[in-house]
Amino acid sequence: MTWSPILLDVIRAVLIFAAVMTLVPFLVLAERRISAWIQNRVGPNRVGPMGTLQPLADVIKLVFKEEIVPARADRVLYSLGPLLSFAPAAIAFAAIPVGRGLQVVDMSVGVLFVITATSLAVYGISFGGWASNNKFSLLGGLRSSAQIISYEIAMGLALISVIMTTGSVSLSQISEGQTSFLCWNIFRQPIAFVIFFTAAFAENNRLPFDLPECESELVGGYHTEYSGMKFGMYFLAEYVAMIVMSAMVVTLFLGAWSPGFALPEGLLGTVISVGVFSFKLFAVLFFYIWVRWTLPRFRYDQLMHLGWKSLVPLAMANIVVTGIVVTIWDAVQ
Amino acid sequence: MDAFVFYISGVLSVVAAALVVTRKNPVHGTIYLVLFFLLVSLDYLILRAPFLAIIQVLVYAGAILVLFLFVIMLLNLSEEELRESTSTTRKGFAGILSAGLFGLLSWGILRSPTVRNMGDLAAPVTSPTLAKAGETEAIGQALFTTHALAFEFSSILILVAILGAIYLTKKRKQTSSAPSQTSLTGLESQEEAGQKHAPADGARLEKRLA
Repeated sequence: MTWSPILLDVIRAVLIFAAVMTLVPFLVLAERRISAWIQNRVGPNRVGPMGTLQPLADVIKLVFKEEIVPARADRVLYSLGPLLSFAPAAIAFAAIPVGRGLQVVDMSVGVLFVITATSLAVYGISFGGWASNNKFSLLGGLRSSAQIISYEIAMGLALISVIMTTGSVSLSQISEGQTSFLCWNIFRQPIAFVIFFTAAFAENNRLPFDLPECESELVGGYHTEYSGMKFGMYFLAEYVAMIVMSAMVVTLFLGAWSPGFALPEGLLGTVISVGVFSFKLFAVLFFYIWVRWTLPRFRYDQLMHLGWKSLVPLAMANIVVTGIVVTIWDAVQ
Repeated sequence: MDAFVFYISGVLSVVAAALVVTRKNPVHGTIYLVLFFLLVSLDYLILRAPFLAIIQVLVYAGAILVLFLFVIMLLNLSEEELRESTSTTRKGFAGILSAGLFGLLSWGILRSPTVRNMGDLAAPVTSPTLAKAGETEAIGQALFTTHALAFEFSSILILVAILGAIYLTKKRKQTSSAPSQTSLTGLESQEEAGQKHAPADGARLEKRLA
């Protein structure tokens, strides 16, 4: 039966993809409810019990909205933009282990794969901004590409120090290495954790770094001209990218699927590991939303200063220190 | 299976490369270049070199081409400007040069003893040592031991390029900005950060183009 492993792979891929897709509407609802709670408002609570059917109502509205393509827009690229920003984020999830031994593909270069896929998402934003034939959209797209390139460097450098401590670029091996509580990389690499998390906010265009879509200056940024399901696709892409980045933070720093002690063998352990991973993922996502509704937006020059003059040198110093510590540790052992 | 993937990706990458050169609009050209890099990374995967495949996409498609696109979009050439075609002598010269390079490369590849011993160009990598050679660890070992000198030299080369870029931006700032503007406190630092700032740079470039 040569087909069964392939079939198993397909089932795993579909299941994980479906789980991420199901998470998105609830995340949108959670964002709105939590923001209302933080700002002492009521929030959406009319559609369904506690407003749980609000995402469904939103999707129905988006689907039935009229599609408007601006005059003199590049039609092909205009349609391709939302897709190009969604697909890489969805693909990136393939390499992330969501439970013990549970991932779509166990890649030997998993960390790099996820970073590469998320870095490709910038094309969707900049093509969409350019193809709209609108200067606000164009500025949003340009801001996004400059921002993502700048913060990718800090993020990559933070990752190097993590890879140096764990000695692997495979996400499954990095997860395996964090089974005991004190081995979690947040304790071994606290500076890298802070840099990576900050850069993750910038990569996702989330507040305090949401300059590509800053309403007060750019109307709506790169998606100003988008309506209907094309806008919905951008929205979806943003939230999937957020889930991917949160999953990366959990996998790289917060002990992945491990509760901090050894899990029982067999199916029970696997189920528990998925539960633990989901719990951590939700905690990080909550933190994302919490930050968004707490911190004000950075100015553009402050954003660049923080990226290039604080995070990048800090990450480089961290690599040097890590190198020295790892060498001494190896010599002692 | 490997050969099958190779033939498809090979044909598609040649088509993508041809489209890069023939597109009038540079933004469209960039998209096909991204596609080309993705297809080439597929070839690395067939050759059991996942690290190279990922780095190819990460560095070229994920970083360098984004900067390309950034500049192209900032210039935002109008249709009249795009219609101005390059002269035929230039095109002929470029054609001869690339045909020469193509000939030289194919001659070199076909003459190489490793290729001749392999027989089929699209044959899968079977030797276990070769299969391991594309992994991250093996490449790291090779870079820091056997090829350490070349590695260090290329890092110096990049450093020189960075210094050059910094020098050029410093020089331009002194000549282009009016003295009254720079004397204002606070504006100086904003100008500096404005190197990446789309509106400032865009306006400057547009002025230059006009």
